[in-house]
Amino acid sequence: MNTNPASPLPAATVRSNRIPHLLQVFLLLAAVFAPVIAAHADDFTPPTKEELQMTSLPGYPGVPAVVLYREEITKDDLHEVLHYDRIKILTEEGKKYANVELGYVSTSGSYDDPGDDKSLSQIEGRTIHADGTIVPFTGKPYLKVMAKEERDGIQGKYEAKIFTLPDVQVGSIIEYRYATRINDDVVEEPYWIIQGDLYVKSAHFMWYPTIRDVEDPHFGPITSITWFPILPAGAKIDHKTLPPSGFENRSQQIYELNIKDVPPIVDEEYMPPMASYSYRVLFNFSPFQSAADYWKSEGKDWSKRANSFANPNSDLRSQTETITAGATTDDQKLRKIYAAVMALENTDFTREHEAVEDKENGLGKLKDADDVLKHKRGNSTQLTELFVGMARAAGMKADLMRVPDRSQHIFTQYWLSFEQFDDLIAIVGVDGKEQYFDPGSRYCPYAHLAWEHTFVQGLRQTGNDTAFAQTLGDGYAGNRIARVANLTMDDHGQLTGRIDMTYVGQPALHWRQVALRGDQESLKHSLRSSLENLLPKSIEVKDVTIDGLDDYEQPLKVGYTVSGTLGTRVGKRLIMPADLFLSDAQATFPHEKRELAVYFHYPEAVQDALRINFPSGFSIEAVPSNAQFNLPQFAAYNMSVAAAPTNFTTRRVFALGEILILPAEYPKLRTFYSQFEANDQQSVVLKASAALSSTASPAGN
Amino acid sequence: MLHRAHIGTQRSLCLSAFLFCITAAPLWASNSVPDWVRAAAQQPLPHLPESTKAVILLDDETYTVAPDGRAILHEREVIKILRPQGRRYAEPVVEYDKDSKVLSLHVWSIDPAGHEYALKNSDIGDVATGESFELYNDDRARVADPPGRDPGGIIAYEYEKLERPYLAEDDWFFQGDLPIISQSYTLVLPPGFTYTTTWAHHPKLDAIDLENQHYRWEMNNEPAIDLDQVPMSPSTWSLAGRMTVHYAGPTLPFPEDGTWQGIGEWYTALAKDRVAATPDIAAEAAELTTGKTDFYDRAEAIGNFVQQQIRYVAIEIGIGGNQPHAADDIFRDRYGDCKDKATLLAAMLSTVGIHSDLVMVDSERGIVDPDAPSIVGNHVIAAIAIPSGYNSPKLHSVITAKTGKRYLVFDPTWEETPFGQIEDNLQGSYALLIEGPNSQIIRVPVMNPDLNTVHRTATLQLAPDGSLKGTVTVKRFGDLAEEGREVFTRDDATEQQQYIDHSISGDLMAASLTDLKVQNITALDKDLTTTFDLEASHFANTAGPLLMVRPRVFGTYALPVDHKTRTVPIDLEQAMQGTDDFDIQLPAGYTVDELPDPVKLDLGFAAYQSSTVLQGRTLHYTRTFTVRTVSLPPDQYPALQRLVGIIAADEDSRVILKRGN
Repeated sequence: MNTNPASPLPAATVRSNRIPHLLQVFLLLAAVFAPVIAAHADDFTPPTKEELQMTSLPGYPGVPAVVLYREEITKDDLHEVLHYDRIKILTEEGKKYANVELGYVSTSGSYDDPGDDKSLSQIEGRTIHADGTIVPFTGKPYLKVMAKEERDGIQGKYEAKIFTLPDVQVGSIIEYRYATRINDDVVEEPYWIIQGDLYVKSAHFMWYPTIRDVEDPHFGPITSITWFPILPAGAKIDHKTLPPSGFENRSQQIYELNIKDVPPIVDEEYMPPMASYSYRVLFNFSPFQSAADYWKSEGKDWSKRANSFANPNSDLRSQTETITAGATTDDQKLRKIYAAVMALENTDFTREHEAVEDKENGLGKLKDADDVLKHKRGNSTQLTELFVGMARAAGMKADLMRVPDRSQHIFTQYWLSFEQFDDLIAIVGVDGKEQYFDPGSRYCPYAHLAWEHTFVQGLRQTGNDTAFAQTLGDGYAGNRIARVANLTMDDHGQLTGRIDMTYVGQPALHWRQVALRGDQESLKHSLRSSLENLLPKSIEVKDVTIDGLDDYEQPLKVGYTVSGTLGTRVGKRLIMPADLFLSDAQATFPHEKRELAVYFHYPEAVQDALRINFPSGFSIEAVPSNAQFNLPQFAAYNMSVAAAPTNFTTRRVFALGEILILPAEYPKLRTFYSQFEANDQQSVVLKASAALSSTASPAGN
Repeated sequence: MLHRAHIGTQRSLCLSAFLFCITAAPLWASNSVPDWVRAAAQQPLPHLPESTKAVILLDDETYTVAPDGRAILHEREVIKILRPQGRRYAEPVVEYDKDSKVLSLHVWSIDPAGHEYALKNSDIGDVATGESFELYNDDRARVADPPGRDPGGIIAYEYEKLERPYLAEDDWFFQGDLPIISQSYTLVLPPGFTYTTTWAHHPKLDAIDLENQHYRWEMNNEPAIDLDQVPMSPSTWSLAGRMTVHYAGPTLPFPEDGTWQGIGEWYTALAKDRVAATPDIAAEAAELTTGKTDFYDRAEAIGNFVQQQIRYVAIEIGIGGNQPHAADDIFRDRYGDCKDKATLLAAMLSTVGIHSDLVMVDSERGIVDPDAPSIVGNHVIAAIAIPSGYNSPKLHSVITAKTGKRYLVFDPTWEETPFGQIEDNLQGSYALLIEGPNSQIIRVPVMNPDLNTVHRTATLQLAPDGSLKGTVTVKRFGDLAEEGREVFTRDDATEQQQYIDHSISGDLMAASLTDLKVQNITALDKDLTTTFDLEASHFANTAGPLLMVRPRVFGTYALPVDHKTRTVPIDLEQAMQGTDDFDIQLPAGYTVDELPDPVKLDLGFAAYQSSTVLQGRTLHYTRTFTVRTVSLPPDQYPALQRLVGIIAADEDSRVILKRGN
């Protein structure tokens, strides 16, 4: 087995749930273990005087605890991973780290298809008080089987070993170690997750890969070890090869990382999906010679499997012909196909159906795109594959594309893992031009994508091969909310009227998918609550009417009737909010400091227009000046109030054009938001011709 | 913590004999849906509210008690899904633990098209459940996802479970968040056994005597307790009807007679040995009370130790859900759950001559019903006996038992409540004082509002451009200080700053808070005091020649009332008092044109007053909001709505300044 030189050559096929697709080890040589190169210390590390006396972490005031030392040593040919954690407790909150739950998934199978028989044992721990007193952990860890399942002859169990360390006080050092083991026939590449919610003063990771020949069940012999490192500046994996020795006379590879002073993960509002990008090293046994080779081979394999499902058979061709009857252009045909797919039940919004249900309904096993059409339902992936299959049946060039869900992940080519992809979209050549479609996101308009799939890199089909591609998304004009209020106040201060909301693009998709997960009644309740959260509490939202819920190509229109009171009386004046949709708003960016970029879901525009009609006993004394603020390249805002003898009309527009604002630009962003959000709180002053009577008081005062 | 037995589950009816149930073969052998399921599915539905997600068509349960105290629970339930959200009710869950066993479970369904399904054993899963506050417990469940779980679909299941009740009690929860069309509960007792029933939140029903020690209660068309869209609602289980059966017989070690005393005597026996103090415990108690002679000071020293130094960790296995660990173990390991902490407290106090008892309660007000003795509850606190004739102004959560003895009710689990008080969610609750034959129901007192306070003060200067600058002090005491104490004890500096930033972000859109200082974070008997410098641009709005200033600079007493008619009691959460005093120095060149009117309203359960006056060149805004009780009947909702409207108007009021003069 060769090993690739160190970074930046990346790689790793990684499994998020750590259920290994396990590599079978062929014992071509006598089954004698390789020489043990390192062993973990038998004793716990004695605390230093500085560790005992430590009360805080310089530069990180108030942190609950700090990892003094963390060690993880993986020895493939001993089939074990040794773990060791030393944690200093600095606050009351830090005591929670004394409660330890070590979860793992264990599988067991047959001789031909073995599981890993993973187990966790040799748990030892102790608490050291600040005065050096040692309290050993003498209890027995509890084993809890969280869930178990059997599928295709493999039994899987999610288990946990649970314990808590004794007599933990603020100032204590807690430490524990344990070993995880798997059976002799499998090896599992380590993932070194280096950064977490605690500061790490020092950590040591080592991996002794197996010296035996290893084979990937699908792609054949393992030829290299690759890794995907995300490390702070200066940190480096040390890779060395020990000369052949022992009975097998094979070289032993060693990978080692010593790292110090790793800060905790930053958690901020409006932060990008960074969860997969904390400091880490993900190793991979690879049958490929390079990253390009990986993506090419794995991509081809995926594409072939996807096509075997999506490609149209004669029934699907026939159905497609019927559906597209009368259409003459690609666009016309594809719109009919898209509408047919959109009309099907998307089970990601309802529920998966069991095979027994299909059988009862006279339907066979769902094995290809044609079956999705026959079943009249499918999950998001299956519906996308059906769409592509039908487009192909109609004679168009249609490809599938794997994409991440960027509410959760961001894709990188340097991590060799298909698990970065969550979803599937479609690319179809329509009248000579490629367009992107999202038929798996039910109610997404034709030739648009759900925001989670916009502005991302993914892997697309290109004939028999695959290639990386980039998706685009709509600008702010494509994602709009228009809020229009027309309200009338009577002589007694009672306000009645109508509010109309129009949703276009992503906001419309959001509400339509809320409806898919519930029904009209729950949608109306959600819509009503959504409006109530915008308006002053003195206004009651009553009837809700919804127009165009199923017509995904058109704006979604929602109308409400409202009544109540508005404004605050001060002597002869009535102070009215200039924009009642912002009465309960909070500052979006109240914090002065920011470490990470600001991340919005999608560009958008919000337009308000509201007219308040008032009785003749009132006149307008003052309205706010017109306001206009801009954050060049990013966002713009303006608000104006027009006064008339018996009404005033407020118009407000906010447009956000970018989704990512770098930390260096945060002060400007915050200033912009502060300016316009403060302006949103402006008032219109009405003056009564006579002192306001209590019956004209708008809010019970 | 104690387990709440069976809440949320519904059970069923079986007239089979006990021994048959023990050894019974599966009750079905084919894939066809039983007739009782079809019959339930075919019955017409009464008119149900539009919001109903699903309806229980049938729920029959039979509880068969054996002479040795074991029992078999047999239940049949049929559910119809009415809306997509009803699918979550269509996944049968049968719970068990190390002392109980699911003998059989069968699940059927009928999809909306009428196709019938029967699940195989291999379709039924087995999962760990119940983990929330516990680090470890042994609760498990058999679970299933039957086909046909769509609106119009029917789900049915039948199971038998062997139980080893720790107490001669069973609870029939005949009301929940779904309406129930038809239900029954059948009790089967061995010869010579007797029973009593108590009823919570529902009038008593008489049993039908089926002879041979079989008794049945039947109930039809019970409405749902649907609180999904009800603000300030009490808990579902404080409103839902339930029947508790206690039984007695010559072969039972702890027969129950349906009284609080009986339950208390059972628990006294269960906890008795666990309260024993060891020399180490006595030494610690002695050290904590060295130099203290006053009862309160001695009890407080030990109370604070258990409250602050014993880490909350719940490990509950079998009867460990009810029975405390030994005080010695709790003291040595420095951790335990609520009943463990109350037990260690009792042990430590006993070594310095102070008696205390455990108190069983529920963390949600209203679940323990004084007229319905039962073990239903999920929390244990302590009652510390106050020496006869002793008085102290520091004793607040005091109750007097029927014996005339006074107790200080204290919860060593609630880490942020000062000694001498009790946390808000328990106030007004009923609880069982565990004291052997003197065990009795008590009512946890409601604290005076002045023990739960927030006081905001600010001295600020307003600039002609509308910006505001000055210093702010916020003092909090009691439960109102809980969140802040937790943040400043547990969170890091960044999170603490974010907490303070958010505390004003709803009132000031462009503010900066600097020089944050916090005092008395862990001194529960003192105000948690935060001070900071505040700068806020665009605070006052300009409109023509006017400058409009909101004298209520920040802070709100808004309550989440809605505009609907109220049918359930109102949970005010806590008695409290808030006072705000803000001084705003006016900018040169501006004069006051109009001030808001003062507000004064006293509704009995709450009062609010505010005023804004001009003192020289300084606007002084002051207000006081007092809540005197923790819950209100539904008919008080209009008054509460009015109060909330008045507070909202006052919070939005403006002082009108004019340029010139």
